Amino acid sequence: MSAAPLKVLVIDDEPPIRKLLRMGLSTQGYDILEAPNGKAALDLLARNPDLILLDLGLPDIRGHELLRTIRSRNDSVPIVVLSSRDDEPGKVEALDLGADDYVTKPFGMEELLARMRAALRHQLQIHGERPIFRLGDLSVDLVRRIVKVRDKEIKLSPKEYDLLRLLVQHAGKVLTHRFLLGELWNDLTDAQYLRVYVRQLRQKIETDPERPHYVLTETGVGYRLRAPD
Amino acid sequence: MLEAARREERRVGRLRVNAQSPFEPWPYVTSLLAVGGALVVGHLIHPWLGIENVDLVLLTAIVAVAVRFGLWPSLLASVAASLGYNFFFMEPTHTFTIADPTNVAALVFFIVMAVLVSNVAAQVRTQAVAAMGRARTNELLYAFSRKLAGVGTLDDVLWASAYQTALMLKVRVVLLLPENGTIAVRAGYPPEDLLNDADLAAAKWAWQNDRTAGRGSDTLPGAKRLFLPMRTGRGALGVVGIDSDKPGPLFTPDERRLLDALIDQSALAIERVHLVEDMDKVKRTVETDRLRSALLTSISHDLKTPLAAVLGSAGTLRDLAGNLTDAQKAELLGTIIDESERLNRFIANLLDMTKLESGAVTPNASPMDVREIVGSALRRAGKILGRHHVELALAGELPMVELDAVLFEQVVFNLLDNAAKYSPSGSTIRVQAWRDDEFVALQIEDEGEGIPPDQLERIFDKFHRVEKADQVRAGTGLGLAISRGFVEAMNGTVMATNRADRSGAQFTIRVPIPAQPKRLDTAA
Repeated sequence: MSAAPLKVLVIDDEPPIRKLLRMGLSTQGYDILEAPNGKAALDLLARNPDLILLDLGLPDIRGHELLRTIRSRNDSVPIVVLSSRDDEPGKVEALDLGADDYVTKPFGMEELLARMRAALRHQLQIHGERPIFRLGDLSVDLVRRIVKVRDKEIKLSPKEYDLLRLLVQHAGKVLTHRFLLGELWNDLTDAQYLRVYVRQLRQKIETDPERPHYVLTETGVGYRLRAPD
Repeated sequence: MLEAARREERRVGRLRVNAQSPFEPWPYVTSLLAVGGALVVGHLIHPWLGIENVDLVLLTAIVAVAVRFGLWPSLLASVAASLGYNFFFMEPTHTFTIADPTNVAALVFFIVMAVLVSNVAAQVRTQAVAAMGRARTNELLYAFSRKLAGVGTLDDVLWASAYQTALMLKVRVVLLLPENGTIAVRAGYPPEDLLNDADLAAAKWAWQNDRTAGRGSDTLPGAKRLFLPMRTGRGALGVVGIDSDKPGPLFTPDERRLLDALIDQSALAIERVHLVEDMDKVKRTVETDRLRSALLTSISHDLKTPLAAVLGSAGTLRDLAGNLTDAQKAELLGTIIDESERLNRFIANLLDMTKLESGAVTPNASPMDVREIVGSALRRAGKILGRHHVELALAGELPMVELDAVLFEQVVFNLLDNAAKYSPSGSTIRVQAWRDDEFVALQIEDEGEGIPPDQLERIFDKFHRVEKADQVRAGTGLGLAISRGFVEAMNGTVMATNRADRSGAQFTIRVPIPAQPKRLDTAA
């Protein structure tokens, strides 16, 4: 972490949750700005937070509306939304509106911190990605387009490689079906195609493709490459 | 629908013309033509066959007219025939005078014969027409009651009753049913929402006194409509209001009989719907009561147990921290987390059940690979399955099936949770998937004690738990009910059996393979 602590804007109407986040995040060296509602959140936006945690269930404004407003004023700040269980369409909508990731309540602090790190990392890496990505036994050389598992080179079809490249470039972040389809086919093709390619990719890079360790399914939302430690 | 209605209207319209004919000239004209024809034939045969046979030719024409057109045309034919007979065949011919007195007698007998034959033939015809009319009425009534029997909701029954009655009797119909202590219009054909004050008063009177009121009756005859009570053996149900543009009496006696029959049928149909609704209500009430008490029992146990563990552990950590070893503290923290997660699952189950109960589960299905969902369910259930060995046997080739991934993952998760709960630590849970004819089958087997044969179906009931004397299972009794609800919402089935190879329960989900699975070109 850099010298100046990163500022995290926490937008949640529940005091116990804000308290929990304040404590948990401060142990990681983050500075916390707290907003109990949408209005306060928009005011605090002026203080240029480095990351925003947004609870979609707010008393005064629909979370997705607030998300849209925030994005219209700042299109680069990473946003991680806190959503309730069983609201996959709401999660997808938030991601489509420009959220970077989501955490389902109730969540563990570790999971939340991992999501935040992934969102921040992605932002920091936008201008220069690491040439060789390593995750467990997997290594991906994005410059020479070489994929290895346990030091053995793996042959991927061009589409499989493109899929893996997208996942690597956003490692740790969830990618929606729609995003992946749009990137890979330049077109909103049937999600079936994506499923087939994910399956093929898993068979080539996973030790146990039925219980994938790298390419994780976020049911109802999309896929996520496990974040490197 | 409209076309059918129009056809129906034409048919009923035809029937009415037959039943009650206004004056039409052409039967009389035809009668005269028939007599004229008979006179011509008579004239031709007269020289060879004699005057007696001319009588018979004329009588034949009269009988034919009587049978075809009834009494009045046949009487006209009789008069015309006797005049023509006199004019053309009796001496002196071509006059209406009669020379021979015996001929006077002959003519008188002819006229008497003609009138008698007319009468008898016309009566036969009237009876035949009446019988036909009755048969038709019965047929219509039968069709009407059958139509009503097939209708499920009250509004549909009311609408069908009003519509059919209006069409069959060529009248306007409104149906009023009790509402908040008074009666109000519930259906009408043509559609009608409001009655004027006089009509409303007549309708109320008819309802309160269970007697006819309004137009043409003894009570409130000034009303535009005639109101008749609808009742069955169990009591009054409502009121029918009838009016028509026709001046004078609304009905012939036949039509009145038909109307009474229609009203009776409608009343029976309305009562049937009421009874079904009442039965449903009773069933729901009983069900709700049962659910509520089971819910209370379940909540008091399943909600309070983990909560007690969480509170106790947290309290111990706060108050006795100084006396605890690090290992003990870690164990208490672990308990807090585990029990909170259990609580979370329980609440999630309650929410799922509530959604199912309220019909709010609408699967968002798309082609899915069952194996991928199994993978994500296994990841979610990782902690629960920590003490079991999971063995996967998923077919290499499986067609995609239409599933809501989120719901299906929950189903698989619940079944895995169930298997872990009812089988000993260290045992194996086997998950298999294969193509079974037109289905994709997914099976989850455990190595527990299995399910008592009489409970294989009942375990899918809400709050049902296989009772065991020595221990209480830490479950909600909802997981399987939710699983079945979700699977059925996705057109699949789930059933429980016991393993044949050893003890253990076996849950099998079957999901139909779409008729034409899309071929995917994966070489792209």
